[in-house]
Amino acid sequence: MDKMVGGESMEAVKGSGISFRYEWDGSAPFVLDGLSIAIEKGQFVAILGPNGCGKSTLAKHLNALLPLQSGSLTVAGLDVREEKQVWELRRLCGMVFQNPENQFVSSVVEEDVAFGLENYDTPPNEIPGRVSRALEQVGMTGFEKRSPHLLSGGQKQRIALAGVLAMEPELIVFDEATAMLDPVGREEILECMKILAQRGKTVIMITHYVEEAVEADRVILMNRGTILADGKPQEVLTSRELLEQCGLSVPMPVQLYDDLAKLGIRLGHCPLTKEELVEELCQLN
Amino acid sequence: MSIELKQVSCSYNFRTKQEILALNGISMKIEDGEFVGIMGHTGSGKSTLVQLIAGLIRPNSGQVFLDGKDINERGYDRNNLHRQVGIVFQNPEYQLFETTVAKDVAFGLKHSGLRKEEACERVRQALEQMGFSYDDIADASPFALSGGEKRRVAIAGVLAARPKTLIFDEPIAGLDPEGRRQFLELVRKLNREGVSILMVSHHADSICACAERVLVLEQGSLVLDGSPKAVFADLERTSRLHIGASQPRQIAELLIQSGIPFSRDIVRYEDLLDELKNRWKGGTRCE
Ligand SMILES: Nc1ncnc2c1ncn2[C@@H]1O[C@H](COP(=O)(O)OP(=O)(O)O)[C@@H](O)[C@H]1O
Ligand SMILES: Nc1ncnc2c1ncn2[C@@H]1O[C@H](COP(=O)(O)OP(=O)(O)O)[C@@H](O)[C@H]1O
Ligand SMILES: [Mg+2]
Ligand SMILES: [Mg+2]
Repeated sequence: MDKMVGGESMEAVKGSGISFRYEWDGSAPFVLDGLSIAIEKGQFVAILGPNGCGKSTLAKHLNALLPLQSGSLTVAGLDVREEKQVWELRRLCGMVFQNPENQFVSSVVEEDVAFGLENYDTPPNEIPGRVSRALEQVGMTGFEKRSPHLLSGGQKQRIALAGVLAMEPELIVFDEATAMLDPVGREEILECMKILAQRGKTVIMITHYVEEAVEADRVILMNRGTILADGKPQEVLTSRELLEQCGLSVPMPVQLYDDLAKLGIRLGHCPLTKEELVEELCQLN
Repeated sequence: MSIELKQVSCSYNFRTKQEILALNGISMKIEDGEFVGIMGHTGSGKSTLVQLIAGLIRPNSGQVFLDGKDINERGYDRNNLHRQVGIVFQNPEYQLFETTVAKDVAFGLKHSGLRKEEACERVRQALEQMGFSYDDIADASPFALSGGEKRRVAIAGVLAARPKTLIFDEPIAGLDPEGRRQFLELVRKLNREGVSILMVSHHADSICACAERVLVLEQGSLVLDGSPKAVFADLERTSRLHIGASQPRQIAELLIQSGIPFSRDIVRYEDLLDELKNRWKGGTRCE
């Protein structure tokens, strides 16, 4: 049963028995294979899995870019099968993709950010305020008149994100949104995700970088269209067997913990981050 | 094959109001068989540089020499150039267009004069080099693949031509760890077999693990050129240049900052493990 508070669902995403294949002929493989998933409102969740395991396919179900073939799925309290609600669903469930270039529709930042609002018949007097709040949230105030195409990769992604935020979504899905960025851009987007999570938005980070998944509150490990593990980063990301089973590897600090142990050097705890690793090393004599 | 650039400058929209100076007086030489990493901020000129070397764009001034010959001189055999220098672009997955994977990989061989069986064999080998089973993938539509799979198909298309110099523009962005490991293993193997590799990447760990030499661009200028150890010696500088540092290097820096005497020469995992082993030989945790 759904957890309910005052008639409102506590769940941002609730799906069960979701199966999907791109072609309907009997031999086509199931890209999602009876997958069930529940994400509470306000959670910061990483969906981690190798290339081709069905992460983007799942993401496209969340805002009805792909039709549900079997099972059930509600997102932000809306049934994804309700065609009448599809636009509201897409407003409430925003997405940022890998390539910012493909996401721009205007050559002026503020117009680009306002684009979605105009499509949703937002009262014109509300638009400027919402655009400037969205730009402020991603740290891009001052770039209103610039061309998105002439910005750095991280800045482009932040503009794409501002366009999503202007719609005031409940949850935001980042589908490998950092994959094409340089280290600085990657850091900028991760920072945005953390801030949004702190402000109570539901954030879903789709990635195959274990180092990024470390930042989330919860990690859902996906492989071949199903969920292989689900738990705290400390649980999922230290499990070499699980990760290697789907072609991923443990974070470098975990690898180092294991390799040092083989050499007779034992750290107190298994560290997930570089900082934790260094702290443990400092405790050695 | 050796590659030499002499005072190369290159602008987009040359002599117009919108002129953008993408490369500014670059001189350098890359010897036959080197493995060179190319790094720098978005927009620093990396893609322009590699396209210039592949002969896809021309400099506005300066010269590009391959094996001592100026590739932009009249009469230079450009078909030969395109056979010898293979380039895999950023987001090669967008360039797939044939109806089957096998046809896509074979596309570059169309005018190679190879016999059909030979061409087929090369396609099979290239796909297998990229970790596919030929029989499973050959007849699939490229559009039905995930992003990472498409990229591997696109790389196979360049490998099939067996070039002497291979250029990769951001080949591993978007590849998962297993795909990355396979890709890096492959380029290392090609390099050992004598193919020169030029690899543009933001991924410092991969660059440090493979490249003997790193070129760093900033606003169209070549600002650093040296071994990974030398390039990543000063982390304030690498952060300013938006190239970050490998995880082992970052861990070494954190140790130094915590007051532990540690080498700044650590850029690879094996070196980090060695240094830690030496520092805490047989050590156990101090209670
Ligand atoms: N448009 C499509 N048509 C047919 N098959 C597809 C399509 N998109 C993806 N697939 C298949 O579905 C699988 C999962 O793809 P995807 O969800 O993009 O994976 P991920 O995002 O985890 O890399 C892939 O192996 C791919 O072959
Ligand atoms: N086709 C083009 N037309 C105009 N300007 C371009 C074009 N391609 C690149 N530029 C500009 O040239 C500079 C260098 O770009 P590029 O070589 O793509 O850098 P990088 O690959 O390091 O990101 C940037 O300022 C970029 O905006
Ligand atoms: Mg995907
Ligand atoms: Mg580039």
